[in-house]
Amino acid sequence: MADVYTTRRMEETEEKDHLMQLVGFMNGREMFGVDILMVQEIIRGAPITAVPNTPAFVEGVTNLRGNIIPVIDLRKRLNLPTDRQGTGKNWVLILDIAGRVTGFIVDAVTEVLKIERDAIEPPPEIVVAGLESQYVQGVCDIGERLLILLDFNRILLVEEIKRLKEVNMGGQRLSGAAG
Amino acid sequence: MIELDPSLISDFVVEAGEHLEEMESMLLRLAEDPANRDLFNAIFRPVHTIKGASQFMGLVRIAALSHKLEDLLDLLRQGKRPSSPGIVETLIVARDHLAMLVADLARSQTEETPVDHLIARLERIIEGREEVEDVEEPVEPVEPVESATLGVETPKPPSTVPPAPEMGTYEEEYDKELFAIFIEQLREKLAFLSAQAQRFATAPDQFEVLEQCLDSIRSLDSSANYMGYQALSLLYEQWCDAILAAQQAVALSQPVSMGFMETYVERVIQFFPQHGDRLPEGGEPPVARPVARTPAPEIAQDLLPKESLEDQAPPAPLGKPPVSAVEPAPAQPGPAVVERPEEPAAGPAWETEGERQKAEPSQEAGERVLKKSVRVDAHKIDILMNQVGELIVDRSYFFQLFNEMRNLQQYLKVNAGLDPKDMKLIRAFTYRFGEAIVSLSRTSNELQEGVMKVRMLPIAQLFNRYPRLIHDLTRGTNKQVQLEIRGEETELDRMIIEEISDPLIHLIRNAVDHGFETVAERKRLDKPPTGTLLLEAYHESNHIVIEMTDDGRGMNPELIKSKALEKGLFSREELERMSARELLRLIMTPGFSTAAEVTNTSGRGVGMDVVKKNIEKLNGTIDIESTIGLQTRIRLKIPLTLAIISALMVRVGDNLFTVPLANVEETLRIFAKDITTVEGTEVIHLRGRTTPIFRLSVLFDIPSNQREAGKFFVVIVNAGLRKLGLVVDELLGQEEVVIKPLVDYLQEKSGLSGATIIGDGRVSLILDVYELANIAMTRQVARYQELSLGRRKAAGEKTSYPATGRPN
Repeated sequence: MADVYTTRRMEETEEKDHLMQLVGFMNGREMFGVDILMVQEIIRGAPITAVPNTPAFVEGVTNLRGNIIPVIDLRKRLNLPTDRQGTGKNWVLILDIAGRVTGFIVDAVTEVLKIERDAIEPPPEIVVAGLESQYVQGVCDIGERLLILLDFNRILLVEEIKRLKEVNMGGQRLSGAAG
Repeated sequence: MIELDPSLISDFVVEAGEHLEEMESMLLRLAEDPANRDLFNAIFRPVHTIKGASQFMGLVRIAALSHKLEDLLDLLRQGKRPSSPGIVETLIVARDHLAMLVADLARSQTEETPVDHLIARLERIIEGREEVEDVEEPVEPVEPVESATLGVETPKPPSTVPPAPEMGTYEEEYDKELFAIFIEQLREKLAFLSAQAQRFATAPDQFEVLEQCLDSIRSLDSSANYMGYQALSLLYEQWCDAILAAQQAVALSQPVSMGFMETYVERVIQFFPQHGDRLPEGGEPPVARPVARTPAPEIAQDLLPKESLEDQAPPAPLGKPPVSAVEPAPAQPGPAVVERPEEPAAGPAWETEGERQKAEPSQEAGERVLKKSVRVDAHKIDILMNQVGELIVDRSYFFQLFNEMRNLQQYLKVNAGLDPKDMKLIRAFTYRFGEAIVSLSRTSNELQEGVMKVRMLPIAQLFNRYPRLIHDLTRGTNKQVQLEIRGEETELDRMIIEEISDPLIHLIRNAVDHGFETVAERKRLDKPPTGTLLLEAYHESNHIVIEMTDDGRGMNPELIKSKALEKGLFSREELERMSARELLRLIMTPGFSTAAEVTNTSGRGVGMDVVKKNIEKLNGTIDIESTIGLQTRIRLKIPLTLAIISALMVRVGDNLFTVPLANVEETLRIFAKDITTVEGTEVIHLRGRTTPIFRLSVLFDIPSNQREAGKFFVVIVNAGLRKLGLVVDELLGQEEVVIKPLVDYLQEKSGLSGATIIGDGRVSLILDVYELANIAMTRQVARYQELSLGRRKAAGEKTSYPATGRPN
């Protein structure tokens, strides 16, 4: 009994080791993926309160069952074209990035994907989908399209946001002075 | 022992814990007023309850101990046995043992702490076999077990207190066992002290060496006090003073001779002629026999600080032991001790009586708080809180439905052509629906408020722990400190209470150890012999302020300056530029010194950088004020994160902002013609004063939409010394809101102090008016400079990037 159990456990672990579960989502025509373990939940149509004097990609904050969490517009953050299709209720991926719970606005959430770890390739040197490669963890060919795995630790670089905010405040001062 | 139901045990632990807390606060009052029979009566009740519950549960030791305790208390409250400070100490030790047993239960579900000796001791007191007892309570209350054993065989008739602290000798007069322990400790400590004196010259950290010596001597002093050796205690006190003086010298980088150490060792040994050979025996550390290298006693006298010698001349006041230390019970107004404020027999005549009565109500307030408290898992409250938030969101949904219902009613009336009878039914329903929603709304509001308040606890929860701390800290030292507490009903979030507990203990320990002078020193300085430590809490805007003021020796900025210079932390020029206040803050610089070094130059410093770090972690600030020789005040200001504040809700464009009401002076409605522009800044004249106004829409770079053009709403806010107006589109009214923190990168330097969730579940940002004032003023300066630059340059030409326009 015990042996059978152990064996099954080992198989499971092995399977877990070479299979990776991803939450897939769309931004424009591109498909992205994020490790399911980082995804806390996915919400839709949450009212977002804008926070003044922040970098443009910080959409604001939202109330997630009593907790106030920042929301970042992923398109703006990645400098992708921002002509968002399908207005109405936005999708917000709530991710836990090293303890910082943060929401990311995406166009649509598709499905949970299982891919082989071996199938993930390092980010190519050339620019993928108009994306700076520093934010790309890897790419994976899933039949018809290319799935881009994002490195959210780089995307939520707090120091960078703080720096951007100061520049923003400086710009503010300029516009304030001009006005 | 019978198998116990774990849930019963945990109930018992919680209940007993409350009774024990109650007992502790009453016992401490009793320590000041040992003859108060009402207090015995009051303590009797919780003990009785604990006894009953523990017997029921089959908790043998708790039952036995509380039973004996109850018996003794019964005798005391009936006056059949005279009370004495010694007995009160025994009661405290017994309470501690009960607490330890309860802690054992909570941990392992069994009773582990041995209590037999204590029970035996209580029996002896009950039977009147043990007349006088002074329980050696350990400085560390964690292990009173050994010490209680130590105290068991301590019959000490009052007559053994030496009448005058003149040089004499001591030998094993009454209790061989105890005396042996005493001598053993003396031998160890003296060996240690000699060793320290020898390694002093080469020690890397001389201050620390002296600090360790101080600790040893104080511990010896407390033993001497315990034995009733007042002359010896006096000698120790002088020794401490000498070391303190040496520390001062070290701090000032003056040469220090440690010759006096051996002199003092020698003089201590002289007290015990019969044991002189036993004393300096080489123990663990390699010690040279002090006798060999000790100068003659006459020289030793010269080496003593002058004050110490003067102290010796009028020995009576110095011989006075510290508060709650050794007390010659049965408390007859003996001739030897007259000035003891806590002398029970002299109760009514004392001037402190008035003060005591003043203190009375607050103490009772503290007790009430304890009695009413219920222990709830904090996580449950958090969950409840969030659910209430969800309820509020649902409620606004109902409001929306109600509006739709009214529209439907209107629609039916106009389009469906219902006859008035049918229409009446629908109208009646809509009306009742409306009523129900109003009621729901009221109830949910109250629920929300109630749940929010559950998170808040009076700071009495924290302050009530400190009388005991001070009792323990001063016991066995030559200091007397009384704690005064104000504002203990001030509420703050329970999380913060936990977070500031350690820093406060640290500060209190510092004050007692270093801030206060010894009784002798205070008398010499013409100060009341008992120092006062004032702990005060109050709300200030959305902060709680906790002030700790001691009337001790204060801190000397000059000494701190020289120390900082010596440590190479700052250059002489930098230090010269610093104000006294800035200099005081230096003691909180990490690496300023290993604690002890500042400790004694200034009387402060042990781990102050750690305290500062802890307070700053809570977004709090710490401020130090000190007047040399008079007092030191430490002021902690901590935001009430998650606390409820009253706030004014305002609208700018589509955004709702929350202004803490504490910052709001008044609100005005003004017209465009009321605004004038001075040097690029808009101002209004408010009762003859020019007040700058800033448009929130401009500060935050968001669109504004006023209901009526040319009409503005201004919220006059108070930002420290400045008053300024914030222009908003609309005033929405006052609400109670819960402050929630924003993520750090959004909150820092943003003019926002957090956020709150409003009725419909949306988030409203809370304005930090101090920071906003800073931002506004900075921009004002920038704008002014740009304006003047612009005037000089050709019109229309772009000015440089505003970074150059920033002040500083």
